[in-house]
Amino acid sequence: MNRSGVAGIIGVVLVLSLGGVAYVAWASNRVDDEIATREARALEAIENFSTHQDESGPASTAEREAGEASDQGEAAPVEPSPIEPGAVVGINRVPGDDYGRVVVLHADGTRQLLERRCERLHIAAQLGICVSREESFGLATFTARYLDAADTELREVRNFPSQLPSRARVSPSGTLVSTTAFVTGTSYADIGGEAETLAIVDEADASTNLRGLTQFEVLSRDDRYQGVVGEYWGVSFVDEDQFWVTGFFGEEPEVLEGSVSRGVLTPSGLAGSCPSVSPDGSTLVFKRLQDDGEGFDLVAANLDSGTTWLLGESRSVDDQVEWLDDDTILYALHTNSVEEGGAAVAQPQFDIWSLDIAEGSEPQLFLPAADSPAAIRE
Amino acid sequence: MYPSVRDPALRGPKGTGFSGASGIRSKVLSQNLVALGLTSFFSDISSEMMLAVIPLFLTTTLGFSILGFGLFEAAYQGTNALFRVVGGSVADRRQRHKQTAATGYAISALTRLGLVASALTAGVPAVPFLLADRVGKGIRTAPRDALISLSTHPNHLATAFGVHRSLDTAGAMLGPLLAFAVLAAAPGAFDAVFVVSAIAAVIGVAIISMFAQERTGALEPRPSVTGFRSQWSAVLKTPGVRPLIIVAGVLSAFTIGDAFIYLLIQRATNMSARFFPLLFAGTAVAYLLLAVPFGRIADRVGAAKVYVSGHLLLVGVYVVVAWSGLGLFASIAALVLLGAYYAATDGVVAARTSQLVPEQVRASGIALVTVVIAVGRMLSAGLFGWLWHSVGRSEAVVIWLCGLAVVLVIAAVMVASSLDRSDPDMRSAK
Repeated sequence: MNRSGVAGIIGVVLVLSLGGVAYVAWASNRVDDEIATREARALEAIENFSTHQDESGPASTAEREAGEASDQGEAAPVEPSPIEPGAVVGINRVPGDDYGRVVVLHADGTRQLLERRCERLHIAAQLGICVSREESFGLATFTARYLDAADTELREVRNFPSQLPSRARVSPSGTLVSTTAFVTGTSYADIGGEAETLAIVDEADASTNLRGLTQFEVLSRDDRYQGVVGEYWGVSFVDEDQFWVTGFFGEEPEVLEGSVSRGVLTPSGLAGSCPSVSPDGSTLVFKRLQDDGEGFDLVAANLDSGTTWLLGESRSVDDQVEWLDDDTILYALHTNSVEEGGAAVAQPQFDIWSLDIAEGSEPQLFLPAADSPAAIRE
Repeated sequence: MYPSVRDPALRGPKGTGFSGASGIRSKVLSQNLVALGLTSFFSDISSEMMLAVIPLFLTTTLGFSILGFGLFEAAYQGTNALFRVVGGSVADRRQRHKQTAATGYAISALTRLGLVASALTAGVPAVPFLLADRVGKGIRTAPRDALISLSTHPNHLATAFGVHRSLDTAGAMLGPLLAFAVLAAAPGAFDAVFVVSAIAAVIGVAIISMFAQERTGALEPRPSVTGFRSQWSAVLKTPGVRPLIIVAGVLSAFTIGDAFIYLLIQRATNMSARFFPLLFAGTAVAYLLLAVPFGRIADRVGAAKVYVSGHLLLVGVYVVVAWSGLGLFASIAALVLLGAYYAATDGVVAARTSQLVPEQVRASGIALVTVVIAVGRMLSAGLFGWLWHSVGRSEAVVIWLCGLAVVLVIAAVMVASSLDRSDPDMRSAK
């Protein structure tokens, strides 16, 4: 191994390494530029939407004034106003530095960003649940945080470690919390294969009393529930005890009814996933796999009569819907379709849509550049 | 019969930079071993940083389903095994081990450019390049191991393979870290990962091309075995090769793959999937620290003995996995035992094969034994996965433990009677 050879290879290594560093720096710049472009486009979309609402919608004078106030608000940040009934809280999905911040759409139409950041959020009564992501050297850790909803900045009450979050719900009076996280995998499409979920319920005011739904007993003599540990995800609370949830026992996801106090689950006979029960407890909306097996339809079930019907959304919805009122649901959709790479890019973009549950209704854009909606009620 | 280490031809031109070193170091660290070790170090950085992001890249960017990914995995492993045999056979027939190995490294380096294109352009598919990468890896593995064996005195074969596997594993540990660092700097920029991976691969190719030397023919001219069939029959007729293949095949058929061990630990500890790379790193550290010590032991007491008894470490892994609660310490113990098991078997079996198989068919012999092991592990993984699913985790491990124990006893008897005895080196023949 002669000296010139060794010197030569060290030179080659140095030059190539510098080239690598330069390329990574260029790529890093490029990613920043892409995000800046998408940020500008998203802000423009928000602007257009509010103008459009002002022109065509039956917006009141108060709302118009509020819109103007919010424009000024962006120039000079104001103290956040309290989150009051009629507001909808979500997570800001404008790419850039504000991505992931909690966004409040006040009843007067003002869009306001809080400091708090979440991956998934839900609020009811005085309690919020926020699953957040912290990252260092590409390793992500997740924390479930209980928030004080009466605080304008959603102060943290306490927290516990979580995993890649997918669903979060607080019971109507704020005494129970449930989160679903992916233990392995990242997509419900892989349930039964690689993906594995962990759905837990907790009594919010007790010292942490986490219970996985796998510890609940399924009340059924049907063979398919015997000797299998189900996978559970997407809890929706009816009250401070009863809830709906998705269960998977090897074939296809189904909806079950449960009781926290009794620790039991009862099959409902409905095939589908991610149920969400209306505030009056009469209607359930859930996802159902489309016939081609690619996307999800939204289906509603009247819990008194047992009738089910397909909702007026033709795009695939992969979300647990939230109820704005007893007739209207909210859910997030990718801003760009998944085919266009909507799911692939860093900081994927979502919009919140609203839909009347009556058959044949058309979805309306409700809150651009946001997801994880939670409607604040009386 | 074997070239002396003092033969300058073994140490490369002009006496080499290691002529000043003394003792075992100068006997083991030939220029070829250092060059091939560094080449493996850089190409493992390259391939492991690529492999660390591939599941993410395929499923998020290219929209692969998990089923598609499973099929891809099978094709990927199959390609590797097939071309391992091809690489070994071609290298022996042409008696060009360095050239064949360098070609394999170069093919893998070229595939990174295709991956860069695939990451930047929606129309360019990634899968052909990933398969081509396995073609390159398959081709180079056996000729490289053969070249290591041909550059090392038979008394130090296992140590030399230990040195090589240490460097190789060090690269394999750095790769994923580098990939995560790149993705942290430029989120979602898979092209940047592949560019850095390409650079590491090119450095590897440069090192083998510039510093490794052919080590065949010149030392001991013999008619090379040309026909494909006569090549394999030459391998199989070598005394000791068939028992070795049987023992290696059967032992690996009761080897739960590392992926399953990690999964068992992850399930038991409820560890976040994001920390999976840490499990790999734990095993790799043990492997890279123990590869040389186990190699030296193997050179002293016989490679076949160490190879077979190395499986006792695997038994240890199964015991910990089956009967401990897999808390933090038990998990670490399992990972360290797993790394030690690899250190005691992987390079050692290559060394043992090298001791047995004549020079003209050395690469083919190594290819054959490693492919048998790979196929055994694939079968084991399939069966174990099915058992886990049907009878449960601990029960499946216990069944595999019993199977391995029985096979080990048989293997031990075979070792005692024959495996180390057909050693051409007089030392273990007694």
